[in-house]
Amino acid sequence: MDAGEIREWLKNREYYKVKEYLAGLNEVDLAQLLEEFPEKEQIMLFRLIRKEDAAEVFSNMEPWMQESLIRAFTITELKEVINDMYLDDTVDLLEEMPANAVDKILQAADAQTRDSINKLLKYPKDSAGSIMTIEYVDLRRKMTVFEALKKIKRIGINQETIYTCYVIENRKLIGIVTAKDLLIEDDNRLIEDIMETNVITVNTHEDKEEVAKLFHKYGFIAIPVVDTEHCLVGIVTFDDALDVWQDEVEEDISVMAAMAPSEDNYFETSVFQHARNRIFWLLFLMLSATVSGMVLTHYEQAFAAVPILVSFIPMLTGTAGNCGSQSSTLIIRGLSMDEIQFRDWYRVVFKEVRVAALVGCALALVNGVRIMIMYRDMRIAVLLGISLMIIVILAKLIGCLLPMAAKKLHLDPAIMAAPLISTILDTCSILIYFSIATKMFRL
Amino acid sequence: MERIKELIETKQYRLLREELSEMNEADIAAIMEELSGEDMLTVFRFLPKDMAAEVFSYLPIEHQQGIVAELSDKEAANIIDNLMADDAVDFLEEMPANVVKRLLANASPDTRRDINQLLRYPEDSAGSIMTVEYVDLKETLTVEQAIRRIRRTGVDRETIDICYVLDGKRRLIGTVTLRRLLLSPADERIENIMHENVISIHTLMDQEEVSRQFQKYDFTSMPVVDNEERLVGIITVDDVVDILQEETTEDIEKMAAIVPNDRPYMRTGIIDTWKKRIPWLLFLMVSATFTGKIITSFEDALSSCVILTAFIPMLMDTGGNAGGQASATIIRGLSLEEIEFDDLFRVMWKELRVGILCGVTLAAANFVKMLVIDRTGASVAAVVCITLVAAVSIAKLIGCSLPMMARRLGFDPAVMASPFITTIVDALSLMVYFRIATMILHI
Repeated sequence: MDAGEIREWLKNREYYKVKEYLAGLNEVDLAQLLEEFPEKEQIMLFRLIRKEDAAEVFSNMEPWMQESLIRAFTITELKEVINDMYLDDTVDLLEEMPANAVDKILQAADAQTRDSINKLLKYPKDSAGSIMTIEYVDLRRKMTVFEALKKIKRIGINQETIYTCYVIENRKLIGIVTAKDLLIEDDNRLIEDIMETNVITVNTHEDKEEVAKLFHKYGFIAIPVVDTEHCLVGIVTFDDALDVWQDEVEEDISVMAAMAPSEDNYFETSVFQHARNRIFWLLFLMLSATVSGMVLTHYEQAFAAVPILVSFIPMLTGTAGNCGSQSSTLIIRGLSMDEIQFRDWYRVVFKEVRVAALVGCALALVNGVRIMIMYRDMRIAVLLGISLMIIVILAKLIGCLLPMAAKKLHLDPAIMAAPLISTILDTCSILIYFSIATKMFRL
Repeated sequence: MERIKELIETKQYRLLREELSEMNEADIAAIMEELSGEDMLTVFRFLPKDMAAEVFSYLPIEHQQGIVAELSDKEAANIIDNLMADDAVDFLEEMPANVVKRLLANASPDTRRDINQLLRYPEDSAGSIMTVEYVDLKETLTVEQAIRRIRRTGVDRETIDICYVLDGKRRLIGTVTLRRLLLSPADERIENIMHENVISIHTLMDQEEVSRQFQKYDFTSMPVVDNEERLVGIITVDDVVDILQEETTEDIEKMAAIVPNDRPYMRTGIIDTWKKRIPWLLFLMVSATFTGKIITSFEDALSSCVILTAFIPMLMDTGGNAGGQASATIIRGLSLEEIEFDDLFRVMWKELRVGILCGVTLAAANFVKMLVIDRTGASVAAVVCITLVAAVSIAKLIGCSLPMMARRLGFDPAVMASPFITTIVDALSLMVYFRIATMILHI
């Protein structure tokens, strides 16, 4: 089924066919499908989507499409969509829209929604409060299972999730009950007898990345968010946690490649913006690389006397960089998944040094053989062998220590990745190489 | 944790069991990992029976094996019976076949049949991570009958949030959420409220693809079907989160020229670590000698203008960093499906312009620095700066195109990351450098 066929139907005003087709698609796919149509047809198609799916489809769209639809909506349509959407999605929407769209949205929202939105917008960015929603089912301890199920039937339609219900007393969270529990128990049992009292909660101001980690650890569908008095203020659902987690990974990868992280789609980012994300680190690293240049100049006589020495520089600095980045990448990843803690630092160092020794041996050997075959110069083979060993060990040491040090100093360990570490190692490698060379060749 | 240790030491086993029954299973497993072998077994023995299996499922594989080795066959079979099938499979697929047979011999026939079926699927396929404990309904049932069925069988199901509607031949014809059931009238028939356009997963789908589907649609579970559309199992979102983590780590490791490893950093032995790092290091080292050859061929040029050598590290580093940025961006775009191979020319054109922008900025900064600080004279500065622009542009072009071509040829684009690209870009930058130097400085 392609966009062309749908266009045909629209042209021939066979709207019922379009309606039927759209009703069979998942909301996520619907949002993607609408992206392929020009603005005028988008709004037409959106109006043919089933009322009950409309809000969900809208929340799954890209911001630029949401913006253009908001402009095209009538006040009634906007009201319907906004008041149907889950609050965390509405908050996300408001954060992406320009000021005039925001005004329109807030005006269309009913008083209660507007109130809740304003409460949610007050939480600091990147906190649990900023990704939570308030549409959950709350129960009381003295309710029976039967009454609880009745309540779910009554209000469940509007809640983001009904599979976990929260038992509160004086607004304080005292336990949770799952829908599964409710179905399995007898109708007459009291909630307080079947609820789980050991509830894992997060505070409103907790970092959202820490919250996402909890989902991974415990496998929950939703986690309750409480304030300092342990009053329940909202819940975070797993789909939002997945998004947070995904964003974090992408950010790490960008930083590790020496770029400013960007959330935008590749093609939607202008050439200028791309350049801006990349230029800072390139500039910084380029200027720091000149230190290696200065070291080289210092050893001018050395390679004037033995020119062949220069030809091995790329291989040495390249290997140092690759070794260092192997170590740093693993350490950065381990730190971000909490598999490695700062207190493990000497275990890590001990491991890296031993691996480096093994690696250095292998490389020195292969290289030595190569040099003997190509140049038949024992001195150079030995020089390179020794340099390689020392450089590799140094590379892995620096590669593992710097990310951990960064973490300890509350910096992002991801900046201590290949680009920065290679720059540092270049200078060290050249220093080591030429110091040894000068001694060996008595220059 | 200290409390648990204390209770073990003072042999207050009743208190220990009480303490444990208050805790979350994932937390218990985390504590057990830190205990000595003996203490860990003690804790396991005193776990309340209904928690034992779940705690077991959270433990890393070595600890699971350690515990099973100490249990009688009957006790072990009991654990396996109580585990969800996918957790049991995770554990058993690491064991040699004769041990699996022995363990299953004492399990219930149902468990044995289910697990043997699951063990047959290829590693990393949907079949290997799915479980068989789902709720299936017939379309002719009423809502009331369905809920009664869930009440009766739900205890042993991994999830009851989504129920699967099957026809007489066990083919999947629809899904019903628990929410829908609870909110519908008791005499409504399932076939009238079920959702018919089911998005399903094929048993042989790769687990990375599976996790992408979950991320796209935000489902809590997805059905797995065979070639005849028969439902064979379900995958729940908590398993997918694990896979996502694994796959991301794998990608990051590949991008750092490491052969990927599925064990946590601290648990990999020295020899294994060495084996994962040495292949690429050897390959890259040997290919770096090609760069060395280029330098040797310009030996004369270098000796007549020695200062040129000092800028080689800076040029190669900057080229490498620029290429790494481009490749990281493209690799991410490919994995998010924002970029496809057909976009190759669009991407190259964009990257070329970004490269020129960055290159010119860098060259300008460098030119000033070389004239003012290094006092090299305008012609040498010009050589270096022109090479900079060329090197950065070439780097971005290669950095963006290699991952896309790798994807086209069926390779993992993550392999075409910084280390590999740097080696190629180094060689090209040097060639450009010396050509320009020869032309401008007449050497």
